[in-house]
Amino acid sequence: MTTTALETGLSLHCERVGHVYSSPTGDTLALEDVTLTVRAGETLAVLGPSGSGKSTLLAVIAGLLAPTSGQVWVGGDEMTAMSERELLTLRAHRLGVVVQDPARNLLPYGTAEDNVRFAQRGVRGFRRASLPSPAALLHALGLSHLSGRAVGGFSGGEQQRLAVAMGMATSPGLLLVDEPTSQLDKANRDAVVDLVGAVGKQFGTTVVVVTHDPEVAEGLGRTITITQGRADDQTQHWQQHVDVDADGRVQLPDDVLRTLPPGSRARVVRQPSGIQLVRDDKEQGR
Amino acid sequence: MNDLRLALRAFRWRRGGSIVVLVAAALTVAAAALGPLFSAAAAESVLQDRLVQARADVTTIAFYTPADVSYPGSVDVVASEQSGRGSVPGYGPPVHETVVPTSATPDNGLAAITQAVWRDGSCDHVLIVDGTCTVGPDEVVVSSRAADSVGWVIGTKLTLDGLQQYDNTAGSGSEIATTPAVVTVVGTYRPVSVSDPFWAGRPYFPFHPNPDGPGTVDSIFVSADLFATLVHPTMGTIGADLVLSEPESLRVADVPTLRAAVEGYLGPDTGDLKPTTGVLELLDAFEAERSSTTLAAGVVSAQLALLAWLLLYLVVTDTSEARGSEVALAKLRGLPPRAVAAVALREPIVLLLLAAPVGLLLAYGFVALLARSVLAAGVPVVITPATYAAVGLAFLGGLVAALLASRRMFTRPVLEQWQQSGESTGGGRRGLIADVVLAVVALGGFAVLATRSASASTGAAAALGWLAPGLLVIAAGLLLVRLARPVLGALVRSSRASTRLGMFLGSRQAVRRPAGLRLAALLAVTIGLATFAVDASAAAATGRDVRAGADVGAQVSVAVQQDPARDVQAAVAEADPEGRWAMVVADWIPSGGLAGRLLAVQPERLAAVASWSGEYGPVSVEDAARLLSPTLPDPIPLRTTTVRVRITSGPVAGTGPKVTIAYRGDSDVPTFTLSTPLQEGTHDYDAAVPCDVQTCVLNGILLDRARVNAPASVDLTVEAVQQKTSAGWTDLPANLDDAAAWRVTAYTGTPTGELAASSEGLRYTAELPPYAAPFVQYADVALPLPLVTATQIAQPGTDLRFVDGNGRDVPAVSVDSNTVLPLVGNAGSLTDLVALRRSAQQLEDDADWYVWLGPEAPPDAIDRLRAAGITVDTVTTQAERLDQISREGPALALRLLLVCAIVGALLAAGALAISVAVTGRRRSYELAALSAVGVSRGALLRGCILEQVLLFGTGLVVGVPVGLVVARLALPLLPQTPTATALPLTVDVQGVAVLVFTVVTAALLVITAVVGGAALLRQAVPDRLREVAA
Repeated sequence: MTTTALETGLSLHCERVGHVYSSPTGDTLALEDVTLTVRAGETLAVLGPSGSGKSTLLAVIAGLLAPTSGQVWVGGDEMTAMSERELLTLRAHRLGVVVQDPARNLLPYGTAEDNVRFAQRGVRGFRRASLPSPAALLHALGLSHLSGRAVGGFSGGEQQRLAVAMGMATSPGLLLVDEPTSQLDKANRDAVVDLVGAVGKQFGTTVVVVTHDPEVAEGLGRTITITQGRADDQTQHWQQHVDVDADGRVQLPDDVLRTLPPGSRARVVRQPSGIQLVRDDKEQGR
Repeated sequence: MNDLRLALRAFRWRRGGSIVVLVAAALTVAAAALGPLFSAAAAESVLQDRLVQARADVTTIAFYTPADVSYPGSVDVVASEQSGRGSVPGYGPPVHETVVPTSATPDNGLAAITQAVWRDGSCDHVLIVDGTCTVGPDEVVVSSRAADSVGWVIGTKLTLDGLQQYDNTAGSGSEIATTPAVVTVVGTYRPVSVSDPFWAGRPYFPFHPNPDGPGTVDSIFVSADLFATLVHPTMGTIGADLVLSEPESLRVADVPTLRAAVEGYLGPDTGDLKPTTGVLELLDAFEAERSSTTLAAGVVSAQLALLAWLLLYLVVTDTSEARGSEVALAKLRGLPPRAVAAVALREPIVLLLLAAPVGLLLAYGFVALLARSVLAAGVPVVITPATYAAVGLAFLGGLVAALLASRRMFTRPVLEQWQQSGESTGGGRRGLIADVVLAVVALGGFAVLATRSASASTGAAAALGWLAPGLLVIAAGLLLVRLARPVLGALVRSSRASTRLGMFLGSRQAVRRPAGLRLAALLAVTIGLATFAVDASAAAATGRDVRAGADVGAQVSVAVQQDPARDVQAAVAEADPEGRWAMVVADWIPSGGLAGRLLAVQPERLAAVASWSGEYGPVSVEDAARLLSPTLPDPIPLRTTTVRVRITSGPVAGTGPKVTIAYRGDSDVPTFTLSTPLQEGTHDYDAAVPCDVQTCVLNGILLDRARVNAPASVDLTVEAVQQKTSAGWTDLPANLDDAAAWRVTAYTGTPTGELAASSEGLRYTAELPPYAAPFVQYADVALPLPLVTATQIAQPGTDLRFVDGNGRDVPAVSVDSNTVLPLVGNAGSLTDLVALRRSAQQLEDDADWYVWLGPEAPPDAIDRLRAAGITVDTVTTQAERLDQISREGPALALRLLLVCAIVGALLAAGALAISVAVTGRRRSYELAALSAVGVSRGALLRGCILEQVLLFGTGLVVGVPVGLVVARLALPLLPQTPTATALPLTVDVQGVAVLVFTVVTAALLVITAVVGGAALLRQAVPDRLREVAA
């Protein structure tokens, strides 16, 4: 890997970020007081089911969506106070975004190199000259074999890996990736996860990956879960929010589900400090 | 370089949509350029027609003055006066001439009235029939027909009384002796064409010979040297004409130069030496027609350009939506606004730049083809600055379309752009409001035009009438298509729960597709306009046919000479004895009493020969023929030298009348014989008549008491009318037992008395006042003369009188009237030729004579006329006239409208197919998905076809009725002639033309729907689901 990292990893901090979608039929709470910190060079997986708000969180961090409340700092700069033009500059120079559905990240009629060039067009000034060439970038990411072909005919896995490469085209300090494996088989999923992990490790780029797949999150390092707009840092796994729905049901965190898989039996033990959920060994033994 | 490569790759990737944008943009440019290109070509055509068809006396710049022609320097004086005036483009060098009126008398022969003419170069414009054209001072060339008529031959000496020379043989005295010039005929000529511009429209060839007395014959051409031998002063005319020799070399661009040159040539009015010409008025008329044609063509092509622009806008909107994800990606990558705009607009701008020359070429080729078929031959198609301006405007319009189509991409947030689909409710409401506002504005515009049309039937103001159909069609089309949405919605609801999946898919897609109903509205508007144009064109074509027929009178009109030696009527009767294809017509302007022209026709041939349309008015050609020839008894032919009438009279009180017999000879004018006093009892009264040497008919019995100042009582019975033949006295078929075959008129005084018929004869009783001279007249000639008049001349039943060439009053009556009559239009009357010849004198000389040929005329009809002894002057055909009318400004504008409207309808129909092509890739994902979940391809195909059929059907069902209604309302506002015409032009629906158009259009639309639907489904293969969506 000989490419030049223009931007070392940028830290990210979200402080009590909230977002409400308004529509004629009513308001929908997508994010509620999300606070998280990602260190420079760190890779973070944001894990959550569909509709949990994880893509909204990514869009807020990418500057594509203004939060209803809270602040976001990237590399010490408060992006929630930035103008639209400053946000464009931020995305052009310091922030790479890979949106869900790889086709949206690519010009279908261009080659892989054309796409890299297109992604680099927003870079101005001295940074422009220091950008890796498309061939070098693709080589660095192990995608040289895709370079001369039009992406319209790529497979899903190839498109997704190229989409990640597009996110890295400007050597950003922070790479945001939304559901990179949603439509891929296991082999392609692993390849994409490896690529994202390599980006973090070899370029020093801070990476935030949104996924609904626990295995993907597991392969990326630190994970936070997000459920119904609220985030829990998995490093503090002894504390985690769960929601009780209208019918009294509770969606357990994924790691808890490994202990209490669907179909297992548990006992609810009432204690002065709260409620304890205990695996029923008899049931387990059956 | 990379950008260009990427743009080319994008163009190739979206080649369907890109080509469609290119085509739509090229069509917009072409439509915009069409108006200036066509109007420039049409103006050239109108100029050519105006100049070439103009009479020579209009285009010639005539420069002549009375002068002493015997003075050798007279011609030089005129030449030097003229030389300072410069030259005029398109005109040849001056043609000098000297003219002196004279009589020409051969030895032992009758004199003929003529003029001695020297016209420089005349030998190049006549055919020498015999002898030579080169003449010395005492030699002349005469016309061959004059020679034949009055018996001149080569070598005949003619004495020219108007050209007096010094008589050197006279003795010396106090007075100068003169003698008429005597010249020798050395050649005979026939003019190549009397309408040759060389003759400048001057009356060089009048021909009314009279074997019995001085007649008028064509000019005799003399040497210029002859005038120098004449007595000083001999007054004549010296002139120099500038003749328009090369009208086809003049272009519209030359008109200002031509006008300035003519005005410069005419110069200030200096009295006698003032040139005259009608060419400036001709140029004025051309400018007026040109400006109205230019405006009309501009308005028509602007409407097409607007339609093409709407199509371009729709197409660009579709393709812009296809580029929406790229614009979102550009924003996502942080590209600055300028770069984002470049991504959004690069493709349409490149396509517009490519489309500009393509569109210009397209328009040029189209106009070249149109010019070849509808304009004057050889008219050039010129790219004017106005054309470039129109192309520039169209390019800007394309940019505006691209900006409007892309505007939401610039402002919409990235996430929203990816999520965007379909038209919002607010957009639908805004669209409805826009449609209603547009419709109201259009209706308001139409109302203004309808009001203005009352005061402007021609000219530039009236040319705005070409906006009327477009305005109405837009208003009606937009509003009615709005009604289609709930209808289609109901179809969706009714098919939702049924098993007819194809119906559901088709109707749902027709309602859901954003551009669908917009295109249906566009289609309805264009089909409405095309329906109007088809109907209006068919109506106008009918109107032009009627006009051409009315202008010429028949399919062919042959101007002929009325030669006393060979009566035209007799010659035509010989050439066409059955009266199926030829008719003699005399076009005559009475000396007074009756407004307009009097056209004498042969009623028994009128229906077979004349061009007669129901548009002329309520009187049909059969009615006119019947009214002009009421049932009359057969003439009583006389073949004798003596006529006898047997009269039984009662007592004659006071001074009785004298019995005078009247007959009509070859001249058809009543002639009265010597008279004999009426006696009591039964007596024969004989009268000598020259009816052995000419054809005569009995005219009646005059009881002459014009000089008797006393009343009288008369009671007599005419028992027999006889003529003396070799076999003795024979009775003539005088219908004495039929009172209706006779009538009482008055030679002097007023008609008095009663007629009664019995087996004994015709009884006349009367109490006559002083001076009254009753004329018991055989009623084989209608009296008063029945006329079918133009309504403007007289209403039916109006008693009329007119004055003949000898100053006699001729009574007439309007038996019916039409708005327009053949040849005379709204300013004349028709009458029976025979009756007129019997009633009016000097008709032979004063009238213009024609032979009209009808549809059944044989190909060699004119040769047959010549063979029958008729001298043919010129031939005019209805087809030629129709050709001329078809190249007038309004006709050209209407043709342009027809072509543009049909092209517009094809464009709109193509737009739906285009819409399929543009959205095909996206639609194919949906169809592939439906196919993947088990929907049969048959149902999908039915759905695809039905979707197109519903949209096309909406356009057709709305468009055709709207077009017909608009035709009724707007057609009267369109100027169909460059100047006002009295001919009522039809505004009736042209059912056949509209039906053919509707059927053809429906068939085309169905074919397009089937092909488009099948093509769409072919793209919907399962592999499509694996591709990257554009």
